Amino acid sequence: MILQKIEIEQFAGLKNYTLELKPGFQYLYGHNEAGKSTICAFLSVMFYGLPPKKSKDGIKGDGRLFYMPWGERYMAGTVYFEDKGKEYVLKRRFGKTAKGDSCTLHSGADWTEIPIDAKTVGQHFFGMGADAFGKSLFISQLGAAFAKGKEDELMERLSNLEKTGDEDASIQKAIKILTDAEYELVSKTGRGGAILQIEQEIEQLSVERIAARHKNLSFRDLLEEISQLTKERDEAVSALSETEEKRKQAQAYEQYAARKEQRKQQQDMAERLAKERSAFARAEQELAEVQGRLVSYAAVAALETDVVLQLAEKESVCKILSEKEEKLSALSAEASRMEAELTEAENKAKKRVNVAVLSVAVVLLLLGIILGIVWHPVAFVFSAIGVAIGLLSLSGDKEIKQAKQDMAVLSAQIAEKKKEEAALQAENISQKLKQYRGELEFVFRQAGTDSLTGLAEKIETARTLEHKKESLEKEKQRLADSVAQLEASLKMMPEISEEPPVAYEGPSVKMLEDQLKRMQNEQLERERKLAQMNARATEGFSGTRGVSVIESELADAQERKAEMVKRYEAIRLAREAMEQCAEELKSNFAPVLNEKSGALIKRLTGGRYREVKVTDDYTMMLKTPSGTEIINSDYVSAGTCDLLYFALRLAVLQTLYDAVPLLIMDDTFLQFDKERQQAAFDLLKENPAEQILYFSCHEPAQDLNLTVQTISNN
Amino acid sequence: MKFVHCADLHLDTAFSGLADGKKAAVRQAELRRTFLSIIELAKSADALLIAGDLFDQDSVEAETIRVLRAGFASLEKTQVLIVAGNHDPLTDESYYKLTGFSDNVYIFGNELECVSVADCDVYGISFRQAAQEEALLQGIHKEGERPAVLLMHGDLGGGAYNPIDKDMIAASGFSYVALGHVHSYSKEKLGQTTCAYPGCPEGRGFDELGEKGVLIGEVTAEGVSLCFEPICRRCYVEQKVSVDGLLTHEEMIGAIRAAGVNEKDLYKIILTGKTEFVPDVNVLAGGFSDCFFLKVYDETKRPLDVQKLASETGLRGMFTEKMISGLEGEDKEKYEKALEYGLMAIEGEKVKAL
Repeated sequence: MILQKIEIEQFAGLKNYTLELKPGFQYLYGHNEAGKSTICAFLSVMFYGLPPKKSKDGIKGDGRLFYMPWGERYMAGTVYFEDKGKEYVLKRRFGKTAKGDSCTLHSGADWTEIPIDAKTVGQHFFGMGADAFGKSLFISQLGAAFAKGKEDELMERLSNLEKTGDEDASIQKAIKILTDAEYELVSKTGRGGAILQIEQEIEQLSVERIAARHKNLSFRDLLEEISQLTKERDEAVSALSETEEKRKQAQAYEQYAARKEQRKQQQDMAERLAKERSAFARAEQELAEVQGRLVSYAAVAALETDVVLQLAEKESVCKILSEKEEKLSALSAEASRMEAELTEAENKAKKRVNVAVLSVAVVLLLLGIILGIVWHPVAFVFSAIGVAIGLLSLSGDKEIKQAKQDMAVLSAQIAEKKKEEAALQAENISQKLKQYRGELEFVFRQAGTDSLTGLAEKIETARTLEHKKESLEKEKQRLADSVAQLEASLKMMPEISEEPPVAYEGPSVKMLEDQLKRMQNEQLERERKLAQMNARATEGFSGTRGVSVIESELADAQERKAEMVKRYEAIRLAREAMEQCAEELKSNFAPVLNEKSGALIKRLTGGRYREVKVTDDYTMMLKTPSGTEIINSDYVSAGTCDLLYFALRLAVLQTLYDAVPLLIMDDTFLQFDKERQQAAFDLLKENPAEQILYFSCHEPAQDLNLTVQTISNN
Repeated sequence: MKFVHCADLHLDTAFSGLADGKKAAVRQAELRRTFLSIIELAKSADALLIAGDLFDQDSVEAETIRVLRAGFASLEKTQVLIVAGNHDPLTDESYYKLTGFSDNVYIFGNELECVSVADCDVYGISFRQAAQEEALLQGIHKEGERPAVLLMHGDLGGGAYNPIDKDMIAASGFSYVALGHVHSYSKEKLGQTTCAYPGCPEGRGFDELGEKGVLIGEVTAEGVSLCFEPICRRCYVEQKVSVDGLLTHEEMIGAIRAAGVNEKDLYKIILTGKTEFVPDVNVLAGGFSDCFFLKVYDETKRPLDVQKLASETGLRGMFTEKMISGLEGEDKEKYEKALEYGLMAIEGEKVKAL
């Protein structure tokens, strides 16, 4: 591969820039910002396109933005080169987006277009991808060191050195394919992967199955409970019916007892009625009797209530009057006696007394007294007159005097007596007495008695009889009512016939009814529970998957797992074998690489480091000059590191290629000291590659004897 | 006596080989419907004889019990006679004891019993536990003049589930022995006695291939007439399909279709033959979405000349050589597959784990 000419239409800071190149080693010098790194980048981009965008690196990570010239909408350029005897013209253009990109390849000889895929230009001409290119042919500034990537093409190519015509055979890739497949089944950490997932699935299904089994058991238990409760219920039905029988018996008995009682009551009532009736009859009789008797007391009955009092009063008055009468009579008698005496006296006195006058006087006196008493006290005047006459007649002699004296005394006495008499008579005693007596007698006659006591007795009796009559009437009435009531009651009472006796011993109807009620409530509860349970048995226990369905899935999952495990083991076996192959292959190239890079390093370091071993990840292990220690290339100085990696790159290239096509170097030896630079450029001068483009921003030291081509942008 | 004889319904026993729970649920429902089809058939018979394993005691669900009960109850004129088998033994917790079946259902007890139906005597005896190494009946002979039928779950071929002595049957004088336990239909005459297994009425796995059904027949004084009535809704079919030399999924799908698939049956397709193309069984199965169930097993082999490969220089040779020793040993399948994967990986082809 020889690059002949570079034409940059516009790319980064370069515009309309042309650079002519020659085969072999060229030292291209330009100051900073002359564009050398841009040219290097341009070359890389022309063959390998824009690098993939790395968003974490910002603008620098986006080649399209980074290299796009300011204010422009595209970048483009052409490379003229020769490869394996043929000349080519490669034109590429990059727009603001990938849609605006184009890439054409023409034959340099006849300008025919050669179909080429923009993505594989570099692969085609350098036989390697962008990654390998960057680790070998293309050494960016201060970027000599490199490490093993995820898919390390270099390593692959190194491994795959014995080409079988199978260009794409790649052991690293093969290992990755197998590892990827392996990790799909069992993840790298061992905590994931399809096998684990399916194990989890199996676990879940097992748990689900347990729950489903449990549900079935619950259903079975429910059926058992239903059976049990149904039995209880049926037993309770007969118990209930038995108790009902008993209750009926008790009730029959109680009804019988009630009827018996009623009958007795009726009988009692009838008896009472009879009694009352007879009492009534008796009362009636008595009443009649009393009434009869009362008839004879009618008169008494008609009397005023206080008649006795009145009469008693009258009687006492009568008594008084009678006494008075007696007194009067006594007085009269006395008066008479006295009169007689007087008369005597008078006689004595008055033998001369004119008997006629005297008798007139006496008659006057007596008449006066009697009239005075019986008629009017004024009559006593006559008595007085009588007396006076008498006296006068008598007033004669001594005997007459004596007699007169006696008569005077007597007369005085008589006068007194006659006064009294008069008084008495004035009272109209006998009339009154007669009246009263008459009244009394009237009453007595009426009453059929002859004394007040008798009357009183009679009144009392009448009263008593009256009371008795009243009470008898009341009694009669009461009895009549009672009888009527009893009769009415008896009439309302139903006919209860005799019946044979009923025997019963046991709990009362009330107790039995309470018991029945309790039992019925219990039974209701049972029925309710049974209904509930039956509803559950009929409707419930559905909605979740059954054991058989779960077990089907389980069996299937187990089968799938088994398949997966089989496959996993086969893949692992293949992977392990493949890794073994990789090891073996490495052991093929490793010594070659070690030897080649060792030789280069020895030459470049002036013998300081002679031996090197390259590890899996491109770390180099060096022996110290004394040979006693081994240093890791990571720990050497930057300049030495650049040197080591340059040597490695060259060694790799020399291992991979019969003829290394191209080396693009961007100030690779910048950090070398003078001796090493000398050694390095001497090496380059030997043309270890068909074309070596060494870009630098320093002019080389004179004694290096290098031809310098200056690059500048206009 | 006209009868329908069925056995081994295995309601609510797991189905094997079904890819997902939904399909298993569908099959479960279908099995219940097959039961109802049997009920329909039984409507014109005097007796429905069920010779055991009607359901699985450990996994039967409430809904299934309800379906059974309702189904039996719907038979107005048919006597349902059941004996228990090893999957539904007549223990104290058996659903036979706990469920209140209708009056037309009779479940034979753990001792030999006899029930008369139409003009026949039906004898029966149930399993009392899940295994029965000792024969349930030591000797049996019919009593009376009427034709006799024996209903029992057991094994004419011997074994741990009520082994039946053929000589005992031959000497029994029974007209018909209605058996259950073996899942495929068979009929045999022992002496004057006809014995038959109806098989299961619906297959439940790829070990129960072909048409499944029940037996319909009549026992008279003259003898027994028997007829197999297929009633399964779907059949299990195992099909080997050669895909020799076919290189695309489409071609292989075509080959499978050519072998004949319908949308109702369940298929286990085993791919055989040699082809470089490694089929993805999921993609192939995906081409049969019209089928109820179709699973593909890949037993194709790569046409590899192993010796030739091993002699190659380079990675393939190196790798093949490592596998060669294993290809003869007991893990030969694993090595075959590993070789296949390795070669694919070397070609840069993605190896699909799933």
